[in-house]
Amino acid sequence: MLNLLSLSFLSSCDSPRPWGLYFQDSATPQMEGLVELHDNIMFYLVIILFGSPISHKYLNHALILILIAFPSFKLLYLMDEVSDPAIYQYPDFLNTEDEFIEFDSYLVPESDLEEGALRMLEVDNRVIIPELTHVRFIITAADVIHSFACPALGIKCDAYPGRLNQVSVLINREGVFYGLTEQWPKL
Amino acid sequence: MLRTSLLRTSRTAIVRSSLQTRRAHAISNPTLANIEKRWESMPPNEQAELWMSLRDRMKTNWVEMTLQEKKAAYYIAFGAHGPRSVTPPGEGWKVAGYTALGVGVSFVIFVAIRMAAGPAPLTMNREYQEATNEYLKAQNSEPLSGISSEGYVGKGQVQSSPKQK
Repeated sequence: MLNLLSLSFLSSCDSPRPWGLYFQDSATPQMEGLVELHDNIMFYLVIILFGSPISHKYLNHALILILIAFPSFKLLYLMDEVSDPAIYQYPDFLNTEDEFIEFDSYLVPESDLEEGALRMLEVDNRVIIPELTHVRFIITAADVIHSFACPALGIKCDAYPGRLNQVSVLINREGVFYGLTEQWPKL
Repeated sequence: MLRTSLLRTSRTAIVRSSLQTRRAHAISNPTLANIEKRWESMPPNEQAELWMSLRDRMKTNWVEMTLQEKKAAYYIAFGAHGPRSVTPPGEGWKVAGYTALGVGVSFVIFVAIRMAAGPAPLTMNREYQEATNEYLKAQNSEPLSGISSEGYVGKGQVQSSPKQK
């Protein structure tokens, strides 16, 4: 049973896994912060639920809220901080024909999946970004509200038509990180 | 100035005391006996009448109220009638029954929708999911605690039964 628990619920990944209940492996400092905040809050919840004599005596509600709120705000503002990105932008790079790099990236339909590829996550052109470099995503939409989310990077940002949103990440390991919109009018 | 105000105070005091004495007749015990049993079956105008007279009695010194009056006033104000009435026997079973009925109906709807649904996606079989595991290992996905980590013994993406030939 313990084995099952540790394998099914607590294993993490860069991609979703069946019946996964915990986070994907983090690839950025902010995702590590998010996981830590989650674990901290769960600790207090467990104390409140199962350790009621202790919590009644030593923890009152205001104290618990403060213990949760301060790390939460700290993380929120740290994540909100947009670090100066590296000076290059995608259009600064040229391809072999001396053209600006500019591409569309669309979801691979189910019928075109190669054997073993992840359904509804695989794209035809992957965005390639450097590791250990401050990267800024500037996000917008053309038609309706979409969202740009990548769990392993700890980012989720709404994309609005006529508005630019930005998130920054510092990726600290190599990998392929899958993400999906978290708004569902369409992908 | 002082005289007039004194006069006014004493006059109102006299009026108030006369009011109190006028309404201070105790309500007879038979009227109030077993009020807990009778209250809900009493016609509304009698209820109103009784309550008004009790209210008048409560405007006097409460020490002067009889025990019956106190009990009746308490019962009418806070007793188990109307919205506070005791749940009739079998109510819990009724609630449980209707809840079970609701759950049953939603299960039927669920099964009906499942039967009308299309086949599972092509990825939902053991062979494909094993290929997915190899694919994820090839790109070093989940290197810290997941499928590409050292000593990983889990099933990875495998969750379905083998493809039916």
